Amino acid sequence: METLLAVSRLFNSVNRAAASAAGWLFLVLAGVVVVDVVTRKFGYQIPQFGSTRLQELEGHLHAALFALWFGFAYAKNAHVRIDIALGRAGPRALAKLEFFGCAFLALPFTLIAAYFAVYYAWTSFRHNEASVSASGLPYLFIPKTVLAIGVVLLAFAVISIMLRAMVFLWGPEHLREQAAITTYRMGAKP
Amino acid sequence: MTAWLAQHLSVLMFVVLGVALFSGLPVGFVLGGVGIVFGVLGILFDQFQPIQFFNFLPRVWGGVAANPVLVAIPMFIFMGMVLERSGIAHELLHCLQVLTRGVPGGLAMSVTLMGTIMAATTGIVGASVIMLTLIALPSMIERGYQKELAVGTIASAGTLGILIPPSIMLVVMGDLLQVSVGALFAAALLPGLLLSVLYLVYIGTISYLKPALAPPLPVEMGPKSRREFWTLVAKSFFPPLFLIALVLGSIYGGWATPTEAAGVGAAGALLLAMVRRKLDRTTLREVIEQSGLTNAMVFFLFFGATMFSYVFRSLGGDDVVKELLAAVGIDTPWKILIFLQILVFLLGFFFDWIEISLIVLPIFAPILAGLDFSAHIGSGPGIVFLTWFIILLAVNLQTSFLTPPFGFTLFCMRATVPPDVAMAHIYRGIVPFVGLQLIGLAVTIVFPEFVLWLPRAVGMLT
Repeated sequence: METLLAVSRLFNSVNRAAASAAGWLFLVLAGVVVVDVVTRKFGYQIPQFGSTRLQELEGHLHAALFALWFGFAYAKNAHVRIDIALGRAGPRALAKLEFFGCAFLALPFTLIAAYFAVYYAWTSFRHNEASVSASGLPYLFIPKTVLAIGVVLLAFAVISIMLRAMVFLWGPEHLREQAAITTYRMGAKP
Repeated sequence: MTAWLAQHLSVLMFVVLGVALFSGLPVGFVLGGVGIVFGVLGILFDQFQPIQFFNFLPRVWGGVAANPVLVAIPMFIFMGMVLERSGIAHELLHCLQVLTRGVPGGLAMSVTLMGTIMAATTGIVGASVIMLTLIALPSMIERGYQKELAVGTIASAGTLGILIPPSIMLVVMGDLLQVSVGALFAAALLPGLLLSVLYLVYIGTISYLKPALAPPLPVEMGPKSRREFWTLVAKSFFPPLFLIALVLGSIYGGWATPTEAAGVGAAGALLLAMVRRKLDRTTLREVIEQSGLTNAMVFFLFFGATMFSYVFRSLGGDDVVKELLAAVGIDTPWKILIFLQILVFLLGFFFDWIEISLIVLPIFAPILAGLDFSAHIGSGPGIVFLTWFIILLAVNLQTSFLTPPFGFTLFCMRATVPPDVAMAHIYRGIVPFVGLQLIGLAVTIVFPEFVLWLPRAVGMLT
């Protein structure tokens, strides 16, 4: 049981590391946009980095920015839930709901999505796929690999929560406290 | 029986989604999981091919990741979060309070005015509501405002953030229905201002009739000399006007697409916050974490919804929706329009704009594309109608933020109100404002020029 918790923590810290590294891309993305707008206005093209390439780069940065935060957002319980039907449910009932919900919906979805995401990135790599636009970016497998990593990390986050829920529900008394999960709604929303 | 079930898998899928959403599992997981389960059922009933699952990732890539329109969303979210920390709102509110100190209900009006101005700088709601609740509610209660009026004013003013352009809601809906975001921003401006004016008129009238509800601020408040007064005005109005000019100006000045304007706005907000020395490393980290979580939340819904609507459509869901509507007698364009508005209003009690947009719009998109309102809006089916329709939906969805038990604005306030304000005050307080929003909706339905005039005038719509 301690092992389960340790694995859960490991998955969590991987997700945290990925998210905090990717977070700086907010600044990079804003910077790329400003450079693109200003250079285009003055009719100047940076050699090797024309407007088409910069705009494609914006899309790739954006993909990395959300995909690498998927798992961490689940670990931080920032994803939207419709929790009005659960007003009086106790912590054990909530943990059971989360465990079986993950087992029947979240885990199949994330595992299948992760399989196809990895396959998609692999295909792109094998064909050395480049942008369909002649002046676009080469090496499309790089952002597609980042997207795949994001989906795999999301699967890690789901497994991590399931492991904690298992320890909390069926593990030894002394471990339950540290395995408690919060599934009420929190975090920011637009 | 088997044949009937095979034909109606999409209906069953929708029913199961409705039930499973209330499990409390994150909505993105429910959408994706129900998609997978019914994809597998579809394989068993010979309605879906296993190989079709391969299309999921290319759809995510093309529709969500490498989609230049949606890049606006992380930038608007980031911009909103930076602004929240910049102290700009605080100064603006103080200045507006000075300006409106003699007017009945002046304090409440200053909140509505500030909500309107901040709405034109930012594209999200959460930040502005929390900010207004923290800085405006205590001062209103201290002055002896009726709690219901104070709460309703703040909730409605904060919610304007997502209607008045720029707005991430319009970006999402424009992307889903293939309408230009620039045209939508222009179209949303007058309806947004209309709601703001309705709120001001309501506050003014009720404070004039019952002065006890809204005691004015002391007239001697604020700067003593004329010079100090104008410095205050200039200092507090410059930052928001600078950002409005940067974002909306760069779109309509032809410098940038709405997406790029979001990036430019984010850079501008960072610059302002740095100049004002409100942005150290720790704050920046917090801003990034809040933005990252919110952004992941939005796009995770896209991720799950892509799976759901792909399977739903593959199972023949579009035709079933059409048949069902016709079977219950909803067959003319007007009936469909009114039906959808009522549906969205009712869904708004339980869901937020983003779930409603991502689930409802893809399902009805094929029907919407064919609706002919040329007698009413002066253009045939297509972009012009969709622009008008999206704005109606956007005004309607303003109510979803305020209607209990699950209004996002209420949720934000619940976490930040002072202890002597009860949930009952909040619920009673929002009723008149939901009424005003519905009046605004009726006006935009009856007078489509209200929506369509500005985008036509700036040449974004024919």
